[in-house]
Amino acid sequence: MKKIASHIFTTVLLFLACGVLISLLLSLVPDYERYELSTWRRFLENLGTFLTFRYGDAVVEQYPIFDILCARGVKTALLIAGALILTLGISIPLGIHAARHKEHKRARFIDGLIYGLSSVPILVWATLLLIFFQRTMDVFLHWQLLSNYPLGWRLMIYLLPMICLALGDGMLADMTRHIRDEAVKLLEQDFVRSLRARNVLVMPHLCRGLIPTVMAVIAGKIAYLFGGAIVVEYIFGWQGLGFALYGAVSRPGSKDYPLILAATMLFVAAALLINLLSSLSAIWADPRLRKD
Amino acid sequence: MKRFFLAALMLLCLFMLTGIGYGQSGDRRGGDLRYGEDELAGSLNPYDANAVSTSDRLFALIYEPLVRYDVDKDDFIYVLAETSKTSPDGKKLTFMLRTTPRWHDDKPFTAADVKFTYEYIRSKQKYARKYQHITAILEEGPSAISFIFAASQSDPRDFFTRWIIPKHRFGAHMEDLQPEPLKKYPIGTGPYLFGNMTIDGEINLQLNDRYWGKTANILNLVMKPQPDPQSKVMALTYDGIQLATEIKPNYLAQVAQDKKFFTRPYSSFSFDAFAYNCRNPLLSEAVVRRAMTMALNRKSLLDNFYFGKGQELAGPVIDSSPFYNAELRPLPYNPEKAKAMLDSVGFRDQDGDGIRERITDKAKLRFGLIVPVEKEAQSTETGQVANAFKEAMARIGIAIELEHLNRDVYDKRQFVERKFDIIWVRWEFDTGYNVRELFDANEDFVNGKNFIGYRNPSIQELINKFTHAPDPVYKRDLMMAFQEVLRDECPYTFLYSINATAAWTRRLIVTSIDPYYFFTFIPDWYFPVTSRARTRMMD
Repeated sequence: MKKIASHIFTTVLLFLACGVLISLLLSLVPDYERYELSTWRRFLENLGTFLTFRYGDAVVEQYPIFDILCARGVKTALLIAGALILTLGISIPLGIHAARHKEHKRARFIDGLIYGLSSVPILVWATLLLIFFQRTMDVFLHWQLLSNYPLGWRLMIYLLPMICLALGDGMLADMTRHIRDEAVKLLEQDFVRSLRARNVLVMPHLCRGLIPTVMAVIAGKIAYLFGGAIVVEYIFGWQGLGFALYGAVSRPGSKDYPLILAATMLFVAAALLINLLSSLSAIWADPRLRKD
Repeated sequence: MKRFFLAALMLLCLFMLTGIGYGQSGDRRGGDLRYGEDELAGSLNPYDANAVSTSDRLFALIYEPLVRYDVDKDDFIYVLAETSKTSPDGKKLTFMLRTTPRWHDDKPFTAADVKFTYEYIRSKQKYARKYQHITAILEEGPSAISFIFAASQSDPRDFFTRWIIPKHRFGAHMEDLQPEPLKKYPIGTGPYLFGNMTIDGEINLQLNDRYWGKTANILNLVMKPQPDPQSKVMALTYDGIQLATEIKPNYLAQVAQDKKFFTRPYSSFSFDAFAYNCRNPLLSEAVVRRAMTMALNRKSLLDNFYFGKGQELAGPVIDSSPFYNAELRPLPYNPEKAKAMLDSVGFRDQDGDGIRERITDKAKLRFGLIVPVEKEAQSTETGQVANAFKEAMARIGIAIELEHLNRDVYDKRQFVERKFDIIWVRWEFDTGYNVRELFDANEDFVNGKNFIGYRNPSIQELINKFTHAPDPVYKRDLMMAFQEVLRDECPYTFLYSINATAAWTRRLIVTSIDPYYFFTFIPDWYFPVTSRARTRMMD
């Protein structure tokens, strides 16, 4: 219990530290609208906004920033969750298959293939897939055109960004390799041998054993996923948080600093939360870690 | 019997005529138009600091002014005002207002709204200076209003092209207390009603059936923000939008080749220039500025970086402006003459480092040039033009140090600190096209338009005369002279005015485009019947 409390306390502390750091960084960016304020004063204003959660209305969108975060955050969460489901749906069976047949040529071929596919950057995947569908099937799978297409293509408009996010920047390869390594270790454990001897189904136990590894990989890759989500959202016009953040940062003239601060902090909070869940799942899966 | 046939024939003719009339007006009514913009609309209150050009175009659909300046007719057109009368001394202007317009929430439009609007405008720092000449606003009944000026005005209607906003939406102290303030839920008297704005920035407008003027044909409008130029072109290609208000020059060929679209360049009421800070002792010399202008091949910049889609300028006035001096030629590209000019005023390279210095005090012709860096991927032309300028200056012995700045820093250096030697600028104007204030000594203050600190007695005299000149022909003459002086004085190196190009599907009939507000003539646009079914908006 003490360990869990310690993890939660560290997470909260990290969140606050990140908030202070981002407030400081934002105050170092010159602000034409508030040029009369010193950097120090602007830092205190940013910090005040962060600590009190009084973000107000977005400058351009004219909506409360909280509403924007909710509406767009859901879309980004959907994108990332979809990408994770796709990644896990491919990497868990492949990882376990590779662990069971680690000397088999087919397993090594699949491993190499996934490594190759996954080493292509998200930006390249997104652009190539958009062009591929446009040239071969004369459809432009962009979020803005969602209402122009029948159901099948609409689903593809949702699916394609998820595929890019799942495939690109090494996400799939890393997940598959970690699952394979962990599965190899688990399969060599005594309890697995005894389960097999008793003719008990090994898979549920194997899956439970894999949860901390999966969570650790997700926690390690989540920052990449957020970065990738910004790229994917911009290319596919997916109106999520990354799209809003890109718009706020790249807008000419004065930036919408409260929106940038709020969106960044939401990404930070999500990353820290997943990290916390990863630690808690490790404690849950391994009773030895529960000892204080 | 004969009479009966005659009566029947006349009745038939009457039916046919009314039928044709109905058919003609009915034929054009219908269809929905989705159009793409580069950025989100921002505040929908026209006097909010966060209004951007996208919102300006929306204002033309929602709000209306008292009078509108018509560039083609070179005159003011009455919109919410019906007539006006100026007192003999030119100090009082009375507008008789139309009685038929109603606000979108069905409240009547009255002189109180006009009075409130101009009081509201005067309370805003941005406009206070321009409207300080108005000393009193008098309501003379529900449909008449008078404005009293401190001094005689040549054509005071120039002050009244601003959008009129509804008084009943504001509190006693001009505060917007509504649950849905004007910046989010605009209410005007214009041809379209505001529907809603989604959290993604998409704005829906519906036809105002009770519009007092000519009712538009297109039933619904949807503004879709598309920050990525490539996505905008693809959305146009795949019918995500039917009209793009602006296509970037590097995507123009792709759109123009597609037989599905019309493209039309329209004067954007803007120009690009390099502005010289006249507070710098070296740049305060007109001959140095003139030599720098002559050393730059502006025609080649326009051709190479903007595919020739624009107009080379001699002065700050573009050819679609009524004050354009068509006989004034830009200073010629002549680097040899530029060198000779610098030699003649004592700037020579004596130490052989390739940079000229003044013989008397050894002051070197070395300047910094600042350009904004934002959205570099989308506007590489600015960077290329700045580099070309640097190279051209190096050829005549002037060293330029390029500094790419974030837009915030750039704006601050330009308007607040005014700390630069040379700055790349793009000025955009509304239909009033007031370029005079850029060179007016009275605008030389923090956030003033004359950020280069330019002072020239002859220019100042021309500006003052223009302000009080009663005769339009005389005004035109003054502006001709104004351009001539500026062409030779070169406080800016006027580069070019880039044409904006709109593109739309051939299914849409667009009659004319307003160069600044774009949608002013939308009541005449329509979808022919055959194509209307395909333009119905999906859920």
